Amino acid sequence: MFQSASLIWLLQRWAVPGLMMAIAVRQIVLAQTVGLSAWHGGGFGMFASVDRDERRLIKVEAMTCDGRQIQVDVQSSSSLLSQAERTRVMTVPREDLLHSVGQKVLTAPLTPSDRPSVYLAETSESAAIASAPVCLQTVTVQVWRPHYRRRLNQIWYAPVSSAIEVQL
Amino acid sequence: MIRALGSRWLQAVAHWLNQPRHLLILWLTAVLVTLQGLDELYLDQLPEKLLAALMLSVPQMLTSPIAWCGLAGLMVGSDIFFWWRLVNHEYLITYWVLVCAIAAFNQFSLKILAWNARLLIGLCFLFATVWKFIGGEYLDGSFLQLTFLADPRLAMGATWLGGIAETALQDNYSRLLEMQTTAALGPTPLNSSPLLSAMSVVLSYWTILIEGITAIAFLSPWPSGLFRHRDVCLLLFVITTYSVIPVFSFAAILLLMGLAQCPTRETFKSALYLNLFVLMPLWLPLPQAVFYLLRQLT
Repeated sequence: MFQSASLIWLLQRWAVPGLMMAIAVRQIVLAQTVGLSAWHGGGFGMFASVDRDERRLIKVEAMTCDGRQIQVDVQSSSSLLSQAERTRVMTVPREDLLHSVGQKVLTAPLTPSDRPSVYLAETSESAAIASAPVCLQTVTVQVWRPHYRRRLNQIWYAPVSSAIEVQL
Repeated sequence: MIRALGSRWLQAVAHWLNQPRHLLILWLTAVLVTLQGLDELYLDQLPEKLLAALMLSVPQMLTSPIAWCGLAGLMVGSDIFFWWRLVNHEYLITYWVLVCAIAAFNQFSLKILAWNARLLIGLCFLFATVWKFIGGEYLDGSFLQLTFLADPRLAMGATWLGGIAETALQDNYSRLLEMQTTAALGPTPLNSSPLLSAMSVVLSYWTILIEGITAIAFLSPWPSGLFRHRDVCLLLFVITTYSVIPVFSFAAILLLMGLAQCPTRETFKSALYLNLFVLMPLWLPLPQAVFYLLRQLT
């Protein structure tokens, strides 16, 4: 009887604050290990870091079957990834998620963009104009995050995840 | 006319505060769950919003433990599935609904609500302060300076505090967008000013100070003077922060939990929390509105 009353008392007072502390500590650990954005995950790191997920970018480089090095845009106007997929990869750049992006790019139709050596990855359905298909040998996916220093007043990007290579 | 309106408003606030406090808290919580994030609604959040709206319209449901457990279950389920998408105040609102669900089995005891509200506020400020130390971008003013220069929501601060022209800010936004779209990742300078640079450092230390003090005030009964004046810290933080950075839901959950932990005998503070919560659509966007109006006029 006493034990049950103590347990209820404990639950009423410490269950939710305990959960909050556990999730916040998990978020801090994930931010330091897998590159989780400080703004997400329940660690109360928003308004402490310039590393917002929407400022991050997914950098995709590929080697074509004829040995050319190209860049693949999966962000701006590409339809390959849904908004939710893009947000998830940028916020939590886990290796399995990056690998899955690489696999998708490897088999996706690519259309040339208005920038040299940059292609847009599309879904099969949305690849409207049938240009010459681009055969890819390898795809490397990496998430980059912004950095800023007040004294330098410069912003620049650096990798926040490891570069994951996917081969045909 | 204005005096009569003010008098009727005060009567309404007094009426709300005179009803059982737990009912007021539950009602405001259901309002918050229904309205928060409506501007960017995800389908998975629809069931919890519908249930909260139903609890507001059926009085028996507002005090039903089953309804609160259902609401907590829906919110926890959605949060587990989409944890990477949520921002901090969404976690905080879910924690608070969990507290309401737990308290429901003890006749919504004010002691349980107040205890948890105090701890949740304190922990929120504690972790916010910890992040400002471990993030490595806050103590030298870097975070705030970039936020002023690159976040349109802080254009008011950049212009009024830092003297940055609107065209210079627009140029910064374009440069950042270009970096992201062209993947030009090398160092890029932004338009700034020495005044904004200095203000960023001052405001960084002010924020750390007020957040750190608020964390101590809510988590520790010592020093007793600080503990007694914890509401002043929280109210000062809410008013000074969210009038510059209008984040409705975060301000709302802090004010709601502030009211929940405020002793009922403290009528002035309770009324202040309630007024700020209910009048948020007026006072929170006011400075920004004045800023944009003045900008249009000039």
